[in-house]
Amino acid sequence: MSQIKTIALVFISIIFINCESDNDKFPINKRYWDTQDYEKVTRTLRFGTKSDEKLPTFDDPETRLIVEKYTDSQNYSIVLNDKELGIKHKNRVGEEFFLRWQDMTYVYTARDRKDNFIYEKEMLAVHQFGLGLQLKYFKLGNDEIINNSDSPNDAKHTINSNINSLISNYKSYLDYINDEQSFSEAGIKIFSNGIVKYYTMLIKQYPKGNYNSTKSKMETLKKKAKSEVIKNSLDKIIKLIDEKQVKVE
Amino acid sequence: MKDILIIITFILVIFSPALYQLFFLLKESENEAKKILLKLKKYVLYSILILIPFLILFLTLNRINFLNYKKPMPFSEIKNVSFEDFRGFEFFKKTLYGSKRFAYIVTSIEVQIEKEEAIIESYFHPSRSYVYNTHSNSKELFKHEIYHFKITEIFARKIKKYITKENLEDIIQQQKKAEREYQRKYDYDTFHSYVYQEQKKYEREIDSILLSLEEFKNPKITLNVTN
Repeated sequence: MSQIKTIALVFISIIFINCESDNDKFPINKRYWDTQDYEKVTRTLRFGTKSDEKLPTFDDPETRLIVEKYTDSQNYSIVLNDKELGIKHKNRVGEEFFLRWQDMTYVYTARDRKDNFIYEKEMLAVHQFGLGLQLKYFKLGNDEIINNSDSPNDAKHTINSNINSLISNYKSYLDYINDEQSFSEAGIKIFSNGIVKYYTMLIKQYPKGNYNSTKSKMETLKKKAKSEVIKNSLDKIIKLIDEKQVKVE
Repeated sequence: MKDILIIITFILVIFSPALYQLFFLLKESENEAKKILLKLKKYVLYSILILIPFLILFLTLNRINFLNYKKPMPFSEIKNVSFEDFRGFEFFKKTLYGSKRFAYIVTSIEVQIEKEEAIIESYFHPSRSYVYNTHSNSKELFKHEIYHFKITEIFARKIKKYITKENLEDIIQQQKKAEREYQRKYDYDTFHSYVYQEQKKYEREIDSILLSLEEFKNPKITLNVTN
């Protein structure tokens, strides 16, 4: 009798166990995540976790793969760099990725009671994911404008305006300097490497862009920054802007 | 609703009389229990007997849709294939990496040996192939699937190219294995046609290989002692 009771209990328990695995929420086995995956994953990370629940991090071996996949630029590059796909299609996908990225920026912003960022590495990785994405997305947008215009001159104004928007968007990354004290040494290093890497790419792609306001912001922030690592990275970019301006003149 | 929940619900319905008895068994005293236990055993047996035909029907339908059967189509009819020929049922797999818009094609290489001759042909199996919507207008999805069929044909032609009287089995097994690997690589590299650049690369490669094996197009070949 007691055996039957045990079997019945086990049977009932199995039925009512919620079998949803991490793989259902985060498709880490999927080779490339599309915008729908990003929508679902971001929704899970933002609203599907308890307030004190630890989010996936690079330092946690169990969840590292999730955040690596989440911030993997291959996910958008595989579509946006595809030479066979049409420019309009790529632009549409680029726009969707851009919108998803905007939602992603809210995921890892939590701070502790000392105002330090709890997920600094992940937050910066998400921001850098967006910087790389914008570089491709704005380029595609401009290519489409050129394709649709009767002559390159007609498109010039819109293209320049787009480049200025991109340069302006990039400046939001520099705003982290105002939160310098909320980062650890490791975080500052990642952040500073990001400045050098992504600004170099931006300036290389748009050497004729107007970087006056960027340069001015960098100079102001350089005075404010305490970290030598940040100051050095800002110096490198200011120097690069100056070099490009001399060449353009 | 998850598939596993559907299956559990179905089994629960079939076993509900037995479960009903189980409920009484748990409530009753030791004396009454023996009676109910006998009843329970009887109901479990009946439930299993009901479940087995359902299971056979269900699993067979999932493998081959005999309710809407169409005989396998040889490669020579590839131009007549459309999504309307993808007649298979799929009860378990509802999405492919989260996308409901998916299809799969079932193809095979059939070999018939007759003394001095062999008939080697690749086939598409309509009643075992599946598409989420038979009226789908997705040319890209269709093209990806049809190239799976072309891959099968490549290896059918390769068998015809290398086969002799002496190496029959070895060549067939070897080429069938190579075909499975190529099919897997095709799906992996193109990520089921998501990576369009790779898809186009494969299309060019497959068409080119097929053309190079044009002389082995005819299903019937004469078996030689040496190649």
